[in-house]
Amino acid sequence: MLPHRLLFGPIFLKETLSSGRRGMTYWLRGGYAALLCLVISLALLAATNDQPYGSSGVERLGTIAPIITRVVGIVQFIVLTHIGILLTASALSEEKLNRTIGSLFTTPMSSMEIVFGKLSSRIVQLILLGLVPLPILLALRVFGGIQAEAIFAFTTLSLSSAVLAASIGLVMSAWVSKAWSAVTMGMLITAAIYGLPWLLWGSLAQKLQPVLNWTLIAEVLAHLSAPAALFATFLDWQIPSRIGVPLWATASITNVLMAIGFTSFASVMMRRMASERSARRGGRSRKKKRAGGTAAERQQSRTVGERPVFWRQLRQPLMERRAVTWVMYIGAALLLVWAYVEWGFDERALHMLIIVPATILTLLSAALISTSIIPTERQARTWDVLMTTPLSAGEIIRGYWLASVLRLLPFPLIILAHLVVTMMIGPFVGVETPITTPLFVLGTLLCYASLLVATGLYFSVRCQRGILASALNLGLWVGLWIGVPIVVAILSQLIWGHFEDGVLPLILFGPSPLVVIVTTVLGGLDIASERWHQLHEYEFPGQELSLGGMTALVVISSLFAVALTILVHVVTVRRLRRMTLRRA
Amino acid sequence: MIDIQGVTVRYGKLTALDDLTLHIGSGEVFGFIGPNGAGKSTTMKVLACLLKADAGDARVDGMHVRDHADEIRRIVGYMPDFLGVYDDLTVDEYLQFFAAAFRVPRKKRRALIGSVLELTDLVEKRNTMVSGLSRGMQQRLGVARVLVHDPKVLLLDEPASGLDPRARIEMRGLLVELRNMGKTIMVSSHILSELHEMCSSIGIIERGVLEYAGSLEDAFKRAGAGERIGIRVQADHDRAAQLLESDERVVTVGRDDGELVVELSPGEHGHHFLIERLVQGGLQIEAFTPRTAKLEDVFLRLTKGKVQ
Repeated sequence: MLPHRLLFGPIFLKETLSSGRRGMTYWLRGGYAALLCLVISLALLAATNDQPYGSSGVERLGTIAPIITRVVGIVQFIVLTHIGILLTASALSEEKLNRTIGSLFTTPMSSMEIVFGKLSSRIVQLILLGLVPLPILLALRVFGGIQAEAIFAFTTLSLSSAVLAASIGLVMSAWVSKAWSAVTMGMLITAAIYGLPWLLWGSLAQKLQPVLNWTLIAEVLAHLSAPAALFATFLDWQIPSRIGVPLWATASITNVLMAIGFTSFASVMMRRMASERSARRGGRSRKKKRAGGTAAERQQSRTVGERPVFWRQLRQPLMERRAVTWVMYIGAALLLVWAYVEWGFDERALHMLIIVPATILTLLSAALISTSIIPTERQARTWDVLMTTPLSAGEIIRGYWLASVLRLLPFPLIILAHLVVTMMIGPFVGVETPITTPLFVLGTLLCYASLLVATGLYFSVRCQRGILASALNLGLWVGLWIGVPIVVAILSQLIWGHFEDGVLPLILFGPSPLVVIVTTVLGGLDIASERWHQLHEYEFPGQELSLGGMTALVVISSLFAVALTILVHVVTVRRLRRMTLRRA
Repeated sequence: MIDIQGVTVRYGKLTALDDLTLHIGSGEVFGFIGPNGAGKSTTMKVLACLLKADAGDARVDGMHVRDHADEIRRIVGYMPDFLGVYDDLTVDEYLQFFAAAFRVPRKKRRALIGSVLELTDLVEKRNTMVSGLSRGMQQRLGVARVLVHDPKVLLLDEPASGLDPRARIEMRGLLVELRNMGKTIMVSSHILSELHEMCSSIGIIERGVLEYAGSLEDAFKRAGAGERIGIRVQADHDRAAQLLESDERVVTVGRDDGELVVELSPGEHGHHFLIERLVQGGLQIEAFTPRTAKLEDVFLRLTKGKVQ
């Protein structure tokens, strides 16, 4: 098949036209341009402030330009990779939900054409976003300090990474029907592709050093890994290139090749879906019909509870595919056992390596789990039917919220299991206050997970598309927990000349569950070790807190999250109540 | 039972319902007819408390939809034109879900679900996943769902759409049973012959304007329908047509498969004068068949085929 037909066929045309008619496309571009402007302005302000007094404007810009390029390069890489997943995570699942996929299968288009057409239309959007910072950076180049290759390198790396992420999103979209599942799994797989090889290298390098040349392996990995190439380019890491080709070039090519592989895999999944549909139409099912009827006919009905919305939502599988859920549980258990055996309980990195990813996974799932509930109901046309029942808006929202929070429990339970094991045989044995660490961690995590679920439901009520609700909820919290502290820190540094002292870090990081949890765990480990007797304090950013201070912080932070959850809940219920007698 | 007074609904610049006034009595089966986009679904959504009218007022069982949405939901069963179902539940769980949502006491649920499954002929599918049902069965499940709280009023938007002939006949039988149970039913359908057989009154709507509402008999009278006669003469059809058209009581003379189709002006005329004219003109009549009026004829006459 000719490449232009594969990439620029009818699907590309349809997707490009429909995305041009969506307001979200322009909000995304405008928002991204605004974000980059903010980043550049802050970097400029921060760098200008550091320059020695008396140096000329041109000299200053010559020194500042590389810093801005680095910051923009890294921000662009991270943001575009996430946007890549979000753009494709519902590309095929929406066709399934809207029942338009059957029409596509009846055309002479191959599944390759359909899937590559979807990808290419997203690539156009990604390229447009990737070009946004170029004019400013090329203008800064006039003042020196930036090589054209560096700008080209980070643009290529960011775009190739976004294309890879988009292709992973497509596979997930073909596999699962819910946008939030596709986004979560897409992000996890992308993180695994970028991080897992390095993790394995780090843990095995010393043991297998006599057998294998680990420096060479690291070099090969750097050639294949986009984040490594990005940091090597901008942070001047000394990774030699024996083949004479720059790291960013090989890493970008690797990303594109992987993207082609993932997209081809998605098309295979589409083909399988098409053949299953035709088999069903012809009355032939791939599943063998056993005695007593098909699987659909042999179900045993359960008894629905008094709160039907809660009952049904609670029974939704966490990862849509039970096999994936079990693989995840078994994988997590194996990783835990391996980490215990490999590092032992006294290693602080072990606890961080378990608690930090589990916390991030919990928060990520919480931010996404509820965002597609109502858009999915609307698309499946079940929403109108539900709205004709006497269930109040409050009952519906509470049902969805509580069930979503309960469905998240497996992730915090992994943390709890680790902390219990640590208390039983690890460093917390015999410590006077061993219970505070798990209490602090779980309390904080559950309160903030509840808040994220609540805001997710709010966006779910507001947005027609689940993927937009997911992007907004994720963006809101990433912005509040990472963006706002950075902005405030830079501004505070500029205005007052300092940031670390005073109550500002407490106000900024107190409502940040990851910071609170990391401080709690590290402090807990300190309690168990001799360090406690020397410090007597939890090392919170900008503050050193006693056990009482930390307890107060955790309680206030958790209560703040609970109060905010209630507030968001009230706003969502009001909104839904207005929608109940709404304008169609 | 249903009283709509001057209801207007606008979607942006488009007026979906324009000053609609309609009354449906208790126990009536009201057929709502109109082309696609005429405003039928919008009317039903207003009555189901899903849509707010820009002007006017609608009442169900004496309660205003604006102020008593919760109470109205308990006595109304609404089945949308495109039925969405939770396909991760079995038929029994699906009905239990809505029984719980309508606050049907737990003790009564099993018996109630059993009876609606029996009525809709879905007993054998009780433990089947909803996704495993055919389109016709899903439509029947939709009817079972609206019956699960025993509502007084049923709003059924195109309940027979997309069904094969057998499923349509079954659906019609089901609606007749519901009529016999004394429910007030407002049903829209494109299959006009089906409405003809089971409705006690009809409403014809076009571009948001109610063109007619009342009994079927009145509709036929108003449309002048029912006064069509098929005449087959032995030869000279053109002369026969000329003779008939010259009578002021004849509106048109058409041809259908070698037969003359004579349409009379509204009013009581009898048919004898047609025979007299033809005989006087020396023509031999082979067949003389008064044609039964159909709802399709009424619909075509009262509407102008305008679509928004």
